[in-house]
Amino acid sequence: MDLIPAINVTSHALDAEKLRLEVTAQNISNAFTTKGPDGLPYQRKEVAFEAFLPKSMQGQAHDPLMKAVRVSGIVSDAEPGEKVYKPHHPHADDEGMVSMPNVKMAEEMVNLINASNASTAILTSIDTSHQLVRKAMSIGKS
Amino acid sequence: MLDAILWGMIEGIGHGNYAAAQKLLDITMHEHKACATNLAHLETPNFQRVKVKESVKADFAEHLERGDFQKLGKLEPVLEEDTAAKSVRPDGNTVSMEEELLNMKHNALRYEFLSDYLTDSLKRVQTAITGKNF
Repeated sequence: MDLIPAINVTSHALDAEKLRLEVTAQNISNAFTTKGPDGLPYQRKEVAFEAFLPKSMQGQAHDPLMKAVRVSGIVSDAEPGEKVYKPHHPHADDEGMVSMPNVKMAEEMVNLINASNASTAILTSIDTSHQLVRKAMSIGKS
Repeated sequence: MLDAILWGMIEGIGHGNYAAAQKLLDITMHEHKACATNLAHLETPNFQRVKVKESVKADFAEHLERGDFQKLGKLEPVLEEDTAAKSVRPDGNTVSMEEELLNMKHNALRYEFLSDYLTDSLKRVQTAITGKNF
């Protein structure tokens, strides 16, 4: 009776979702950052997920289709942001235009809700795994 | 020899249902693993949902119907990709969160019932051996 791989797989997914939430929160908080350390407006970031076999599961007898998930990288969205006319803005160019970050608030909010729902589902899965382990351990006990 | 007699005693109480419940518990545990894997990959692009191999379930039903508990006991539940699941998402992922959560809850209930059944069967054997009610 081995339920630990199920918990392993979901706990990695929870880590990945947490990072996604952090990156989305970073995007929202920088939605109006017109000048970063590189002198350019903030570019929104996105996390990329990939399936992998965790070290703790390597060399063990388990189903090959049972893989964990991790963040393979955090990529910048190269799409240029809007230019708005703000002649008195400290970062305005000679024509009075300010390059804004390419963050779309509605999109980030949707990402935030999706990540939050996914985290809840993963937590439910971990909780159910624990319940099943407890139940398995109680077999034969009065 | 002794094991065979003992096994016969248990079977005598459970009428083969005990062996079937044991295997079904194993299949249910694999169902849970499949649900957990699917939920973990909610956001993995092009992930194809996994499930317990249909042929294992079909074999289980067939052996149970025939009363062939030896073959039933040798069944090994494995996972397979659910090729029938179609994606409605742009990233090609075929996992539906609501469906998986529902499956997981149903499965947990099944697991609970089976483990209670096994506990009850063992208690009956214990009662038969000791004469005490557990």
